[in-house]
Amino acid sequence: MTASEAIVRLNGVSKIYGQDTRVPVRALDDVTLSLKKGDFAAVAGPSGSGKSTLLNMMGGLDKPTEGRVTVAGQDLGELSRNALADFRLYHIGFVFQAFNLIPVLSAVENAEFELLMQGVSKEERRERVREELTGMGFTEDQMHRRPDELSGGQQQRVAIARALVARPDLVLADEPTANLDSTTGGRLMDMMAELNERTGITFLFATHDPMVMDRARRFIQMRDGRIENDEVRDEATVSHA
Amino acid sequence: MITRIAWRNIWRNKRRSWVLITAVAAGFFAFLGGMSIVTSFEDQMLDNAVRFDGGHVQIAADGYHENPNVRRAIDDPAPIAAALQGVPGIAHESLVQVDGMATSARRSLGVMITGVDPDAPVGTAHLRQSLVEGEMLGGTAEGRVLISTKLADQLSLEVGQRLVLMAADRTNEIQSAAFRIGGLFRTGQSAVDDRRVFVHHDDARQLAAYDTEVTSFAIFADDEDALDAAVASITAALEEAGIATANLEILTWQQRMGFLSAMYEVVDVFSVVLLIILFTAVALSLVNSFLMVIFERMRELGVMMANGVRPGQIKRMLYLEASFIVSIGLAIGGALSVGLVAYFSGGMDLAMFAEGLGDFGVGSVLYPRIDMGDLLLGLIGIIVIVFLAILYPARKAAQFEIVEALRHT
Repeated sequence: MTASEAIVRLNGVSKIYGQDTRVPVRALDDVTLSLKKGDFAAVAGPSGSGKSTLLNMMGGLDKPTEGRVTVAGQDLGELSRNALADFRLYHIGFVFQAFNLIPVLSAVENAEFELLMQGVSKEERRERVREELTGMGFTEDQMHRRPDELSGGQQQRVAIARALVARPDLVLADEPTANLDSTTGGRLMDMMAELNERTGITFLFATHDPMVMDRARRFIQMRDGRIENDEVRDEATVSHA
Repeated sequence: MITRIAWRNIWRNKRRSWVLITAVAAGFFAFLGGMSIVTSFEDQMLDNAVRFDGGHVQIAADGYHENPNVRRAIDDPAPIAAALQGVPGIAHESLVQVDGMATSARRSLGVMITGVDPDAPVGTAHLRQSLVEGEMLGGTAEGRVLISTKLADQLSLEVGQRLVLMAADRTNEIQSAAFRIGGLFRTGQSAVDDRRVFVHHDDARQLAAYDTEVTSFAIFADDEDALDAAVASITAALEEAGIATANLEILTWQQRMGFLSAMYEVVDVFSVVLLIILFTAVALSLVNSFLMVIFERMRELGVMMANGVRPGQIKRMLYLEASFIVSIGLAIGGALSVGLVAYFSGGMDLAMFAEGLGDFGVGSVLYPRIDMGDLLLGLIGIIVIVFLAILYPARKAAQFEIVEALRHT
């Protein structure tokens, strides 16, 4: 797959909640969009504009009412529940706003979670996870702490490490900085930008945070379930740390 | 990883987990501990009935079981005794039993006069153990009788004093003979203590006007659970010796003692009912707790599923959590049951219920024992019940819509 190839394609995707009720809600309205490999994109818009629904469709967490979602060449609508779970395991990484981690696992165990589910050997798992966490500034002691012993920023970094060590095609981050102070959020975004450049993994953020929007190299604006604006920025307009 | 998460999950809410573990342990202990006492009760009831009432298998003249009359005798017992010698895994003794009266200077009472061979080690072992005063019968007929302490009280007799036994013989003539009380026994079983007296079988033969005849052979099998096989071996040995088995009845204790056999079946049903009652309560606790668990962890389950965990693995995780809780509970409940059995290895004295127990043919001291069948029933029962109990919460968790679960806080 070359850099210009689309990793995600949405063709005429609509999502209507409560179709059988008297007040159906059209969360996505005939959205057609594609993300290229290596995109570092943010999708913004007011609450209820369809940002999270868009990410859920791309991540196979929800099914569209109409239209087709293709990720890494796979039509997600064709997959069973189990096949979709496997697809997410190998192709998609998620970072959520908060409470991302499994509370009974340490940082290193959380980070290696997907690798273990993939059946990667212990040696390889530990090597990849340590490399990632060390690169994110974790000390040996912090790696063995459970989520409730880590700060919010550290927890989000572990979630990012978990998403990245599995080498997905796409990382979907829903409001990843919403619960962080601006300094921590900024560091996190810088780290993800660096990882995007280094690994070529595609990132898509759903956000309200201007700092995230400023750092994205592609900026998608949504309103009422539609894409209002889709702008690819040149390097000069992207904010860097 | 799923196993590791499941194990750690049960310690997230220690109090709740310990409540569940305690419920399982208490349920299992109540079942296994209770059944160990019931098993002891059954053991004694069977053992006493078998020892004093014809063995595991009884050979008698055809029709004797329906009408245990002195006239229904085995006329030629020697070939039978010889044939039985060759059957492996059994011991036997011949009995002469005659209905009669025991008369002292003060009173007369109806008794069952049982003639035993004091040299038969198996059949008379219980009698020997039950002696509380005096001595066991000697190897030859010598006019001595063993009676229970209860009969001795009723007849106002002591060891060494004389007693007249009277019976109708096989020709319907009244026979009587004076016996000296050689010893007193106490079995704790009403059926024995109320009306059994034991004499040397040659003395009993005289009362029955027998020559070499006997009323029955009591057969004791090494393997109490393989009596059908024992009956088959005995029948084959008799037929091989040219003995007409059609003129004999060869009956197991279950066939002879309908009440006892029915009681065993009732106890079996009771054990299943007890198991269901105890573990339904445990199962309801589990369902309730696991429904709370999955709703508390809904978002976490959503995160796991978003990260590639299959619905079946979510189910497996919940089953593992339940299995860990149940395993710990079973281990504790099992240990408590073993402790109970060990604590009462010297006997559980229930003297205050002695009379009631005696009516069931059981002594006042019980020896609790864990029966492997009960253990298996308990283990399989709880595994099935827990599996059914967790089915609903586990299915519910696996069917969560990921998006809904992720919205849950």
